[in-house]
Amino acid sequence: MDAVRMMRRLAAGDSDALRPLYDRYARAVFTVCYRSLGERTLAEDATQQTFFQAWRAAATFDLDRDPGPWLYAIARRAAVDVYRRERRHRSTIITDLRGEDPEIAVLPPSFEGMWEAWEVRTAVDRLSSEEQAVIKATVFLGLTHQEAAESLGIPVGTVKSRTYRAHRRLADLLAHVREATA
Amino acid sequence: MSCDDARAALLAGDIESAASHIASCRSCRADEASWRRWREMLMEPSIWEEPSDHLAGRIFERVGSAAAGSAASRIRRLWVAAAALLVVLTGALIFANGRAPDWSIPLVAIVADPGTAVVVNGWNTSTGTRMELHVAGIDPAPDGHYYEIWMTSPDGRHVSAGSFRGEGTVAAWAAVKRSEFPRIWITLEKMDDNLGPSPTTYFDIVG
Repeated sequence: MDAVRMMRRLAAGDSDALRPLYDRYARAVFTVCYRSLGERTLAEDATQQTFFQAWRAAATFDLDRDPGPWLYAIARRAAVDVYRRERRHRSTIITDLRGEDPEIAVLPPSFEGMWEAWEVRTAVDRLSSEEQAVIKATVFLGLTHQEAAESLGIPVGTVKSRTYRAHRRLADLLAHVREATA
Repeated sequence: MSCDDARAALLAGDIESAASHIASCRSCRADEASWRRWREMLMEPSIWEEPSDHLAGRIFERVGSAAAGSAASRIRRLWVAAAALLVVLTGALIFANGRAPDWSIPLVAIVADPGTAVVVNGWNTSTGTRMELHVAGIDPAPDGHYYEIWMTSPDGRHVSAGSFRGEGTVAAWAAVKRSEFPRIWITLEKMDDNLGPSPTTYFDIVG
């Protein structure tokens, strides 16, 4: 389903249209929430809040726009809310007497670069599953080509060529971010 | 090496092979920090972690409950409106000092909440028109305002038949015949020197 049709249905109150929105963006939403909050449970709280808020606010969405940045903005807000809620809660538990107001506390560094993380995750999601597997093996897990080949059960030559193609595709997919932040 | 090759090499962490190109390319030199940063992001767990399988179910369940709650709330409002209308109609039949009204019409909410109801019972008298309005569910008129009942002829002449502030039974009179001034409607008026109807119609006969 294309984005405009999906958002039009959601804006008309069709809650079933939330599923394609979730399928398309849940991983990117989860990534920015997990990256900023650092805990899976909190990240899932914020992700849930994001899609709930998106459903409630869909009627106000401008159908001419890309839903990605709109959803990102909701996700960021949800992550900040969860962060402040947890900070308040923990301040109460440990009887924090330092006098800091959790509402106006400066956000930690993990909240920086959220948009770039959203873009990187979105780009990774657009790779084929084979390309994702070799990037994950060689970059995230730090395996050598030989180790990746053994882990994935494919020839070393295939790992090399696939890794090269995957990085080229990633570079293409991230080019607009480079231009936007340059 | 092209710019695309150099960027892919930076993402791959192959700094050495990209170095000579970057040294000679102003554009790639300017972007180098970004590409290195994104390479580091690819090494973060958050880029590769997946939300749990249960999360989607939890979200759709929550949205489904909220949607059902909204629908139930809408149905409740409709029931309240229907009950209010029934009370109004029952009252209308009992009323009239023993004499049944010559005519009875419901007015349709134009600006007011659709849950409000107005029914007008009318008697044609030798001196004009006597009406009784049964108003249910309408908000009280704001300070400095009131609701005004109008009768209007087909050629656009307006006659005021009375005013009221909120829901209840309202007695109204006009020195004109309903047959000559068939339109009955209600506006929200400001307490000022303007004696004509305001542009905002709250209730009207539709049809």
